This record gives sequence, structure tokens and C-alpha cells, in this order.
Amino acid sequence: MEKLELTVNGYHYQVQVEPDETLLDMLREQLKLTGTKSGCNKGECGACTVIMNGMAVNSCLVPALQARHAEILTIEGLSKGEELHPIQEAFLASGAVQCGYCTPGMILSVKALLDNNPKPTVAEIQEGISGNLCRCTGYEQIVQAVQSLAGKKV
Amino acid sequence: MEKKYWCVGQNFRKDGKEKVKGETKYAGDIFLPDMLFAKPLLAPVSHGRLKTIDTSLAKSLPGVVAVVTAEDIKGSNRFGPVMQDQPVLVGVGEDFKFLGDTLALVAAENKKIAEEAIRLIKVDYEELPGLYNFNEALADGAFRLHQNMEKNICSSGEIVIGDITSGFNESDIILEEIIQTPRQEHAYLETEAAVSFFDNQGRVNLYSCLQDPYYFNYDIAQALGLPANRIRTVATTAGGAFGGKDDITLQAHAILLTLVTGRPVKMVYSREESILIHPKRHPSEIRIKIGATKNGRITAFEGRVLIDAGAYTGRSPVVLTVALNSFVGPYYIPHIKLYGHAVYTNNLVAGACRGYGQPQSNTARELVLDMLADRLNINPVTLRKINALKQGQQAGTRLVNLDTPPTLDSLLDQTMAVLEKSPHDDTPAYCKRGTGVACAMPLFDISALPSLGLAGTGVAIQMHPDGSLVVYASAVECGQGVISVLAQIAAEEFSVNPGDVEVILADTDSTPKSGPTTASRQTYTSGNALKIASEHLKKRLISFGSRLLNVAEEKLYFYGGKMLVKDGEGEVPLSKLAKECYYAGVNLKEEAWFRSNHATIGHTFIATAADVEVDTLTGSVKVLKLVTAHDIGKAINPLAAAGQIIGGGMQSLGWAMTEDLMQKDGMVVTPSLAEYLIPTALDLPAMETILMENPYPTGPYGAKGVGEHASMTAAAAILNAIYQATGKMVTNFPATPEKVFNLVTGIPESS
Repeated sequence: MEKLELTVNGYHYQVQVEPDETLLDMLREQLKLTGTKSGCNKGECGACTVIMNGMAVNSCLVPALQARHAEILTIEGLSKGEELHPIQEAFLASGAVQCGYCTPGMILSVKALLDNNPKPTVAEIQEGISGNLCRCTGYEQIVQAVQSLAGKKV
Repeated sequence: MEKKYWCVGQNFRKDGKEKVKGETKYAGDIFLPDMLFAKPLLAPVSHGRLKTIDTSLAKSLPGVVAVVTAEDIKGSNRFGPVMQDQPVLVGVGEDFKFLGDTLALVAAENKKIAEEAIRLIKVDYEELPGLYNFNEALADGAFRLHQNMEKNICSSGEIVIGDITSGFNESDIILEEIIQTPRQEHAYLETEAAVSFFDNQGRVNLYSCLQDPYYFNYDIAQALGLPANRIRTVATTAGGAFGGKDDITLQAHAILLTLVTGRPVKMVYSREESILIHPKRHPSEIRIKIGATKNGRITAFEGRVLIDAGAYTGRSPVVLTVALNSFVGPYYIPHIKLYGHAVYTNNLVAGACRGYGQPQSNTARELVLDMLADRLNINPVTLRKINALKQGQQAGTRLVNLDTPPTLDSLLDQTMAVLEKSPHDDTPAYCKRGTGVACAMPLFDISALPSLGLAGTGVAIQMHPDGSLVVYASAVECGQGVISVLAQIAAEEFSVNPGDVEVILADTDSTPKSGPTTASRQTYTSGNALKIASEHLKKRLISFGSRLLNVAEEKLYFYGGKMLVKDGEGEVPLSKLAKECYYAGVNLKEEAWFRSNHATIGHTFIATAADVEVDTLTGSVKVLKLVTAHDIGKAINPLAAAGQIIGGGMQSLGWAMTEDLMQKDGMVVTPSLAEYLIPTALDLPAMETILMENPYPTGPYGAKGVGEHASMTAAAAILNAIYQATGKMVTNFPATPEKVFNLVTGIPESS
């Protein structure tokens, strides 16, 4: 076990982790932040996407110890209380949510995309979320949600 | 004039806010104090006899609380929806029949210890020869996978209408083709998960993603030797299901471990376990002989369907029945002979997968229709219109009564009109562009088939003393939006805000049996049951209200959260009315039962058109556009309905283009999402969806089913578009670049 300090959703945490413990398992099992999902544990599906130091990462591929002193944003940190983040609002308005399992990771990939490129083209949106699998929506309504945000402050 | 509704026809997502905030609890998100983690030991090869199993070393590992084998099971140790022939755990001296069979279970203090303990179980087995394709399984002298069956035929079916010989005699041209369809994996993002624990009354509680709580409860109870009322089953919000969570997998295992250890147990499949264990879309081999006159009138259709059931019966007999009953689809063909078999093999078990046999038989037929159109030199759309069913004609199944005018012609026109607007000017010289169409007459609520007869649907509604409403239904929310639709229906009936209606789903302790959440049925069946229950409750409220307000019952109606009197003579808010009922001892809970007409089942029409570009240098195919028009009756929630058509269309695109859960001698060639490729956002074509509203006489507000339907046409439309572009039909899809390249260049596939 090793001591790890990091910031998650603006809160400072100190946890004990195993050397082979992933960031995903630490978030879900120790911090009980279960909004981050596990779909494959091999970086194939993107369900576990979180934002680490401004970049979208598959948290199942990141050793927890690599997140030492990092700033992590999970889905739980996106909205302010009852007030949804514009990306969350756009997903609801466009019908971009079905089963909801890919949704947290998908929303965080979209956030990372829009933070770097506020006016993405459709092709850039498709590229930006191509690491996040969704089996329900067929992506169309997700792309529409992101298009509706282009140029807006997110 | 179109009927005006209060909230039916509006977009509403009851579970949306919690989902975008990541607050929805899926089964794997449940953590309980003192909870153990469980892992399964799976069969080492596809077919073998378990000689001994030694768990002593695993049991001695610190942190291991239990290692369980078939000896620990007190019940029949067998489950299955049609035949109870699948073991919960394979016992010593028994045969394991496929890679997803489970031999033992470990429960430990954490995941890591459980995984380590699994590796310490010693298994001695004798490997047996396997049956891996139709030819091997059906060969004379093949060994029998199930000793109680005469052959490796799990079930057979036949439908004969007219006289097939005279049908072919009347034809000018006869075409015979064989279409092979691949095994499809559901690939829901949430793998199977279950949590079980004892409650205060010593009953086992199961929380898991599953599609029919009452079926699971009953079948697990008998397999484990418990009365069904000693188990409570709660279906958690599912992270996708598509039929793959309609059958028991780890749920019986989690309960067994709680019975043995007395502690809460969590079990979550890895992606690789999920792929091996839950039933898949049946691979099929479909032979069609079709006869037509020179002017395009189809006179005879003879078809044989073989589906690979895998190692156990599962739902294969029903899937075969549905495949045959939808085989002729939306066309009038006077002489038909359809037959088929579900065949046991040592491959992965097959079962329910979005469409339940209909995608296979419908896709095969639609491909052959395009080949027939080519031979007849008739436009494919024209050929379909010539043969489209008209009211009063006999469909190719006796299960359908055309109770509304068929809409296929109009749907075809609408899809083609959209597609023709696409510009055709930027195709590179080395690419070929083609457009294709496909049609179907999807069946829904097929669980009401007379041969099944199981699936009546109960729904209850209760008004609390403050006037707020709760709906109780055993439908499962797996993304399709049933929780929103039921809230909308209750809100429509009582004229309240749908956001204020609570909906309790899928808990055998509190919600009435609703049958499975499959077969595109819950809007139709639970929707109807909820309407009936609401009408009963409204009647009682009106009767009480007429005494309270001293006006005739006929003058009372519900609007905007109140009971109003026609002509404005008075009103009472529901909150006050319910409170008065509460103190007067009036029952404000009603439960109703809906079971659709036994003689026939629901049906609708769908048409899809696809536009593709084939790169002749590489064989790669880009689907540019997919347009689907669906006769939905009435869209209670248009955005959710369109989402079903788009999402189903993309699953079908995957089936056509890349998805093949390949097995070689029983081993799985594509064991994870890195090898089994489902569509990503980069594969998304331009999508258009047309919802045609044509109220269905027996549907709630005229609604029909929709969930599965795009999976019956999208793949066929894409493959037909490739055919139109290249003149070559991919008869054994998926249409991988290699296959398309070989077809286009004329290189035989084996080279």
C-alpha cells in the first residue's frame, strides 16, 4: 500500500492504494464515485473516461499512483448542485441518453473536446468521441447534442 | 381531425437527469457492508467431461470465504425458459458443452483474492469431440449432445400456405440462393452484474440487470431448491440489454453464494466472460427458392432456416418460430412453404437479440428480392410494391390479421424521396456508389403468440392522499425509455405533469408480473394495462367526486391537476379529492391485466434505404446515409422512438459491416471489444428517421412497438446498396473489406 494525494472534483483526498490499483477502481471502490463506469477494463470502450489534468483519459488504464497530485474531474463534479452543466442539458434536449451507461464517459470526452476546440465540425465531433462506445443511441443524437453547443461557453 | 393530447406525443426523459449526472445506480454500483466478491470458473474447452474438481487449495487461500461446486446445489441445478436443460454449475461426471459453462464459484473478501483463488482450483477433465457447424451436428451418426433428444435438432417448425408446387409452376423464373448470417454479440456497455443479500426475514434479495424479474425469480428458485417467495428479484436499471439479459447467467450464482455464506455477494462479469456466457444472436443459414412471373408477381416462396442454438435449448424454439412467421414479411405470396430447425452445437448459446429471429429471415429475403429484381430487370422498389400486402390478403403467417391498411408503399416512397435528395457528385473515380432498400413487417409482443401464451401484463396505479401518483410495473428500463412512457401515460390519463408521476419498476415484492421486457412490447402491453387501471381509478374518483360536488358523473373530467365540472360549475384539486377519499376509506389503488388477442399478434411496417460508397481498390465500404420510415401508430415519445430506430439501425449496420463473433472449433476468435468491432462514432452515416403516425386500433393512443424494428431492415438495405453499386451480393456477411474486394475483383474467398 502506498499513500496517494490527489484532487477529485475540487476536493483534496488522501488514500492508500495498491501498486496495481487503477484510477478507475480507486474512484469507484474507495471514493465510491460510481458515476465513472467500467465496461472492459482494457481501454476498449471509454466508459471509464475521466478528465485528468485537463485531458480525457481511460481511468482503467491509469495506475492510481500515476494520479499523484493530479486534478481529476469525474461526472459527479460537472454540475453545480441541481444546476446541470450545458453539456448535460444538451444531451437531454437532443435525446442523447438511453441506457446511460456510456453517458458519464461520453460527456467528459465531449467536455475535453470542447475545451480544446469550441467549434468542432461534425467530423471533429465524431473523431473526438470515437474512443467512447455507445451501443444504444447509434451516436446520431450525441453528435447533435455536441453540435448544439458549438461556440457556446461550456 | 387529430386528437389533442395533454402530454402524449411530447419528448420527456424521466431518468435523464440522474443519468447525465452519473447518479443512476446500476447493479455493479451497489456496495453493501460485509460484501463478498465472486468469480466463476468457466469450462476449459468447448466440450468435455468433468472427472474431478479439487477446491482445497483455493479454499485455503486467506480471504476466500467459499468455493462452491454443483454438490452445494439443493435444487434441480437446471434452468432454461423453454426446457430446463442448462446447468447452474456442471457437476463431476457431467459434460460441459460450451465455453460459457460454469464449473465452480469463488466468493472472497475482494476481487483480487477471488481471481487468484479461481486459478487454484484444479480440474481434471476428458476432452470430447465437438460439433461446431450445421453439417457436423446434422450428419448421420453424429453423437447426440442431449441424450434425451433423438438428434441434434433442438426444435423444428413448418408453415405451409397454398400449394408450393403449383406456385412454382405458375412462375416464369426461379431463383435459389443461400444466405449466411453471422453470430452477433449484444455488446451492451454494462456487463452482467448482480448483488444478492439476506433481508430481515431471511429471504434472498437479488438486484441485477435482467429483463424479466418474475421469470428469473421462478426459474432460479426451482434450480436452487427454494420456494419462489423466498427470493425477491429487483431488476436494476440496465446499461443496455437488447435481449442479452433475458436469460439467467450470474444471478443464480450470486444467490447460491449468499445461501452458502450468509453474506452479501457481488458478482460482475468481465467483458470476456460476458461475451462467452450470455446467449447471442443465432448464426443462421437460410435457403430461399423464389418463383416469379415475368412482370414481377411472386408466385412461390420456399425457405429453409437453420439456426445455431449452441449448447442448450435456451429460447431457440421460439426464435425459430418467429423467424419463420416473419419470413415472407410484408408481401403477398400465394404459395409458401417455410420450414427450419434450431440445431444444437458446442458453440456459444444463442438466444434473444433485438428482433428474435426476424433480422435473419427478413435480411435473407430482402437480399434475394434484390437479386430477383436484377434477374427480372425490374427496379427493386417496384418489385416490392408489386408484391406488397394489401388489406384482405393473407400474410405469410396465420398469426397476423391486417387490421389496419398496410403502409409499405407510402413508407418506401418517403424513404426514397429523402435519399434521392442526396448529392451524387463527389464520388471518386475508384469508388462505386449504390443505393439499396429493404422492407419488413415486424411483429411485436410476440410473447403473446398462442404457442407461448405466457405474457399477460399487469400494471398498478396508486393515488396518495395528496393526489400524487405512483405506477407499479415490472417492465425494465434498459435505455428504451419505458419509465418515461409509463409516466406520460399516467400523466395523460389524470392530466398531471409527467415529471410528478413516480414509476416503480421491476420488483417482485411490489410490482405486478408484466412478462419480459422484450419483443418491442412494453409500450403496447404495459401501456394498455396502465390505461385500463387508470380508467378504473378515474371511475372511482369520478363516482366519489360526483357525490362530493353534487353533480352528475358525466359532467366530471380531469384537467391540469384538478377534477373539473363541464360548463365551469365547480372544481376540486386532485390533492383535496384524494384526501377526502383517504378519510372516507375509498381504495385508490387499481391493478389491471392486459393480454393481447390470442388469435393474432401485433405487426407494423418499416422501410429503410441506404446510400453506400464502395472503394474498389480496397473493398472498404462507407455507408453514407441511412433513411428509415416506420409506421409507429402513435409516437408517445417521438425523441425516444427515433432513438430506437437510429440506435437499432446502427446495431444492424454493425451486423452488416463488421460484427461477427467468430468461433473456430468452438474457440472464440473475437473474445473482446478489441477484436469484435461494433460501430464507433466514425461509422455514423447521415441518419434520417420518419415516424409515420397511423393509429393502431388496439394500441394505447394508437401506439405500436418499435424497439427492435430497424434491426430487420438496415443491414439488408446496406448490403443491397453494395449489390447495386458493384453487382455482387455479399451472401455471407459481414461485408468486410476483404470479402467485398474479393467479390469485386473475382478472387475466390479462400485465396
